[in-house]
Amino acid sequence: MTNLAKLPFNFKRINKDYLISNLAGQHQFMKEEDFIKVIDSDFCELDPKILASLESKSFLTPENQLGLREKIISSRLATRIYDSLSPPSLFMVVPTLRCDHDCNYCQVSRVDMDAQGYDLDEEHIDNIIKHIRFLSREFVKIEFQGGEPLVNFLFIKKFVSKAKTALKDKKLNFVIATALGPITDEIIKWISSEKIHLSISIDGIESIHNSNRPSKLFNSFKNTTQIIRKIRDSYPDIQLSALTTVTKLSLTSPENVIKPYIDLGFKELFIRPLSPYGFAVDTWKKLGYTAEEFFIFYEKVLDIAIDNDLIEYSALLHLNRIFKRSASHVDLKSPAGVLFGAVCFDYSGNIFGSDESRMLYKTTESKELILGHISDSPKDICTNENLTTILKDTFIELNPGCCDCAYNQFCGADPIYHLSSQGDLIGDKSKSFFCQIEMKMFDLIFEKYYTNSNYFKKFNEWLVI
Amino acid sequence: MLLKKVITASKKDLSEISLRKILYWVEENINIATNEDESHWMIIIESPESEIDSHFNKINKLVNDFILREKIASETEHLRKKIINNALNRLAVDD
Repeated sequence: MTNLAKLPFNFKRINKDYLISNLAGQHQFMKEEDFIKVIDSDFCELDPKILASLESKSFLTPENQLGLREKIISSRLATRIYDSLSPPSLFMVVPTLRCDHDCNYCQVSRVDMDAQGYDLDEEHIDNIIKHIRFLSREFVKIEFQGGEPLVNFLFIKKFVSKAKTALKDKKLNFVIATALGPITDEIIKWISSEKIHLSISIDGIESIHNSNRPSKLFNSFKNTTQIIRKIRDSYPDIQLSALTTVTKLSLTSPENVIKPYIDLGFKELFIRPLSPYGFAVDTWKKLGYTAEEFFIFYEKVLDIAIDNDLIEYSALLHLNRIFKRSASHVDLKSPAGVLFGAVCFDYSGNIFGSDESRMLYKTTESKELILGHISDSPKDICTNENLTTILKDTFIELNPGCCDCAYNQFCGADPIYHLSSQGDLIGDKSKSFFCQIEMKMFDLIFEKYYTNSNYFKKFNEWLVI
Repeated sequence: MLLKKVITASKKDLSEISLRKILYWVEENINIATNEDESHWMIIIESPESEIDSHFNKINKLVNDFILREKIASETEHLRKKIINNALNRLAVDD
């Protein structure tokens, strides 16, 4: 047998097994005894199938192929970085910050309905479209965020009409992230005719949903579910997706979080933990939880979702990152997804590199988060000094705490999260809620995929959709 | 009652940078101190009796993991640097 040499890899213990990964983005899940054989270079003692797999994935190489393997891994790593730096396809537009909900966890992205000066002027539409044309490639997803974007429906209507003409050579998709409060029959009809996707929020059964997402004007749960039923009955062509933000209250009853999704006939759900943007310490104490507490809940939700043939989207994003090297999820990018993952045009006319940047700006007014203004020339955004400052330390192969992590080829840097929670763009990963959540998420995904046949089957079904 | 336990690691197996990485990951609520002699690092853990074993096990696991990482790095670190440099050079050329 030709002499074999090790190529660089990181490892992570997952219960009694090990996950190893390398800079080519390959991974291998293995028993402890096999892992030790690799460490001790007892390659002859390995099962031939495992040995072949380790060679094919560039964990081991015949010594006479070392140079070739180096080039292959370098090329794969360069491709992964290049993918993270490819032009954005997600463009968020905030037509207004006014909102008819008073969600407990949304303290910085909303103002009251009668507040003045929080709507985006229609005169900015042409300039926003100019930015999108300059920054995008073929695929463009324009997502209207809020506040409650439908409060400024006339802006959305005019924007969609102008974008469809000005960007007709692009593959355009529109999404409205809405809590459905101001929606009317006329708006629903327009949404259907324009083939617009609705992204809504359902946090659980009535008591949980209304506690997390109260409105002074109406019963949010009743309103949301009634409109969903109406859309399903009268406009089945409208694409609806829903997400759940998990609070401390949600943790008490995973069954009741998922119940409305089953009752309303959803095929997928998206579970997301709380974000720390703009939270006062006492609010986090009231709504927040530890990563351990979240994962006790999340694992139960995932079990229920699997049993009911529901796709859990957060798990799917991670699976896509691991198995398809997808760089589409903004949080899981290295270098970070600021600007290259998404661009956000705020109601104020400011341009941010992510939705989180605009939320952090709302509480800190740190000008370093602004990448430009809608009235600026589009090419100035890409050369903005603030962008370089934010991105330069987001190659996680080199970041403290990340450089030894087996998940660094699948994970992301998220500088804005760490700036918000720790006041530092890199962050201390040993104390980072983001890192704890991602670490546990990858642990869970790998363990379920490789040790549970039911999960293996389901996850593979999800991956081909 | 506070108890003390000591984890000792040979400097041959564990470099100072790895020791620092271990300390980086030690939870804030664990009270530790470090010491050294010519050939060993010592991590001294001081905790209430009820917690000492759990803290010891966590840190011991970190020490073992970083010793393994050093072992891997001793054979592959030069390749890792070369691969990252090659990848970045490639991006610079493409740019």
